[in-house]
Amino acid sequence: MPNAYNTIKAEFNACPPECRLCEEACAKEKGHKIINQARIKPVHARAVKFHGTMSCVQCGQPRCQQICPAGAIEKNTEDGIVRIDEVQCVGCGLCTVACPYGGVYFDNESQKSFKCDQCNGDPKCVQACPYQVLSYIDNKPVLSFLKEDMLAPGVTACRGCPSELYLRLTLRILGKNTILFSTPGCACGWMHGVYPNAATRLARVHCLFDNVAATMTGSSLYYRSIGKDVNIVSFCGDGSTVDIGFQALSGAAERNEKIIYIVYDNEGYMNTGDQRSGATPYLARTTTTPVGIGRRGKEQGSKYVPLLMLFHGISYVATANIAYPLDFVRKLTKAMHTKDGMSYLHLYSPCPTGWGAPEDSSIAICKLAVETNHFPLWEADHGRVEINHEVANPKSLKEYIELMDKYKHITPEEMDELQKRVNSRYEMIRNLAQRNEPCRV
Amino acid sequence: MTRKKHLIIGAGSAGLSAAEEIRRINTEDEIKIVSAEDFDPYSPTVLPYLLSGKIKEASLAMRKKDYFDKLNVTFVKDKEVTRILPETRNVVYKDGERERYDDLLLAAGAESSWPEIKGLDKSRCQGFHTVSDSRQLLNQLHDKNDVAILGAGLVAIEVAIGLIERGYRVKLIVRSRILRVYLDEDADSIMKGILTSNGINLLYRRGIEEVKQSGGEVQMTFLDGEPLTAAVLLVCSGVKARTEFLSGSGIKVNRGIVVDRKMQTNINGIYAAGDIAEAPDFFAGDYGMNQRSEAAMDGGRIAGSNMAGVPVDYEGWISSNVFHVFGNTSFTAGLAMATGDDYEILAGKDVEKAHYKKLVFKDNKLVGAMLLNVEVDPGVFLYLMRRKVDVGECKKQLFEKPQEISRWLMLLTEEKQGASIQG
Repeated sequence: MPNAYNTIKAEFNACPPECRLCEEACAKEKGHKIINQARIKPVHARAVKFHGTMSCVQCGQPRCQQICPAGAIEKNTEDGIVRIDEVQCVGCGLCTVACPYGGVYFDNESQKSFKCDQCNGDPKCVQACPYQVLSYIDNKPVLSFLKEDMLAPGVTACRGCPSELYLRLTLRILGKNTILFSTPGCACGWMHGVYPNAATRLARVHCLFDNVAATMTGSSLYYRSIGKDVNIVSFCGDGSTVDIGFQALSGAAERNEKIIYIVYDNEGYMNTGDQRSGATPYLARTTTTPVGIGRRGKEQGSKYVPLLMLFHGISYVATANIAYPLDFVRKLTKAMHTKDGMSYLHLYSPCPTGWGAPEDSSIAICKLAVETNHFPLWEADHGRVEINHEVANPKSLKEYIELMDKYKHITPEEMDELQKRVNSRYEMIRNLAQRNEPCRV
Repeated sequence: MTRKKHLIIGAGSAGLSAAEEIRRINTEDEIKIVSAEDFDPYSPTVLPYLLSGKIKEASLAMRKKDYFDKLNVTFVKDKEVTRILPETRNVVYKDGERERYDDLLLAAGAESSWPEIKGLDKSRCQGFHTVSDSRQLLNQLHDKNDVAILGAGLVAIEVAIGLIERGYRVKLIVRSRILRVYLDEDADSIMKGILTSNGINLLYRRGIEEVKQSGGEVQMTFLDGEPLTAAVLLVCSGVKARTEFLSGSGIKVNRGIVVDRKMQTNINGIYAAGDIAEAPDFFAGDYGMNQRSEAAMDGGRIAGSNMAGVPVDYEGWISSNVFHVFGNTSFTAGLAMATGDDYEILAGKDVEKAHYKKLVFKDNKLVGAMLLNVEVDPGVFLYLMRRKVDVGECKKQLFEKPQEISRWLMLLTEEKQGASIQG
């Protein structure tokens, strides 16, 4: 299995103008008088109002290593760091040509190349950054608790659909001790496999739309009665969650059943050809909310079930998004360890096929959904609400909707209205997060 | 599944990168690399540093000792292929032995090309492309001081620098311009100053007529200009693809072995990459030779992937070169010499500071750069070209602040792809 390595993460365009603290710390650590010889480069492009940093990303297959004619560059397979052997380096500079990410530099004085070595696990640039632009992410704990992969290779989901990533990661966290519950939906097309092959290596129960939460309740009760602690987990679409199955879900939530209810929300009934659901956002085009004479897409707003679940008083509520996998993994782990009641995880899952988005854009859409506050990441542990990824300067919703066709018809006025609704929902969550008291019902 | 046998001729950048790619994709197949030379894999790029003494012959190797074991690749040196028999998928070695392959990569590289001049032969003069060449040169220079170099390309100048650093006197015989492929006339005039002030004697001579050897000296006469003498004459007038062993094989050779976008020759199952191959360029798809490490590495990787059964197309080579000379840095990439109405050119120079800056744009994309003593990240500039990043809005800024703006454009492009490279 490939190793997971630690990494220095830099927020995009988030540095204070003209700040050079990381560079100074690096130059000092590396014993250079000339600040230019630091291995991290602040990028202050004033003309375009960009202030960020750039350094080596310690590639998986480093081009610098491959091109080095002197065999002086090597990626250490233990810690993942790409290092230059200064004795071997002849100073030809080919590595600076081969690296597309600006991670290797040339020192005219010593006639050698140099690059970041993450200070061998204790990066001084990160310590020197008071603005939390730089962070050092320890990836080892994540992989160390990833369990066996229970999902078959070669799943048959549509191209670009992130639901496979969600389920695969879910099962690698929850492990074999899990029973999976599903309802009709696009994912059941691939998560059950095509006869005679099964796509998962654990017990699955395929339910009807309207009784999945009730079936989970019964199963949970049974296993508790025989003294077995089993993860009772659903992987259902938004249609079966916010619409058809809501009655049973609401009942299970009110009773705070010991189940983990996971919904992957692609904002519509995608299995049957992109019909609107209760989760479809305001103005979005679907086949049942078309755009034409007198019709402007969906006339109602989207039902926001994560907050409804909070107001049912269940033990744990969270939203998650595959563009932030560490956050997702943490929330899954928390759900698994929540033993006193129900956990509800609401996953945002773009549908390139239905939304009219390029197949390779799902992760970009996921990321923008968070950065525009369209899909804020938050959690409520026993009623205590916390926003997990506060966006300092939210991007305009325009950037987000431009990535897909379902909003193609939107006028600037409608855009403003959409933006207002997004802001309002976010304000609501933020107000809840600012309360000193947990929300109780 | 049957195990395929991939045979690779040549252990340079292209051959190794192909082997690495095949192994990355397939853990079972047999991979064998044969090299005509009796050395572990090395790159001609480092040979000038052997002259300057910056490295020793013992540490020439391009890869670590356990490289082939780790990669599970058989490497045989001093094994020269003399014929290829595509009909039976066999190669014939110099010693008469035959070997069967399932697919074959021709990555035998290039050799010094010799102009046809009366009296110019290897007993008197010296080329410079292999370890043996550099050994021989160092032997010849043992008790002599004065070297003449015929040619003014990259190798000629790098060798000249290596020799100067060792304390030799160097004359460079230039036909028209130094580094003609990489420097235009403005940059050339600055580079000339840099070289001469560091002790390289540039002699402009056209049409070398005859080379004679007498009394331990080489004498040269020219059609145009004074005759010259030197203790050693080094011929660095370019390289040519090493294709002699292909005669009769039916493999199509023009200036090099002609390959398609899969790096495959006209014969199914036979691929070529590196200095030996003639491949399409990035911008127009025009066929040409690009004998630089980057093209060898990328071409080798593409060939390897196709050989391992994962079809990938070669995007084409971009001419590029970074060159560190006496504390100065020169970087040229892409269509830096382009002229005509299709291109928008921004250029400026400061002769006193030895600065020169030229950017070439086409359809709002950066397609060429020539930068002398301007601090940039060469790879980032190539990134902007390869990804065809739209620079319509900020050509001027890119010209004014090439380092900051190119870095910003790269980071922005990565960010837009959704997965920030830093995240």
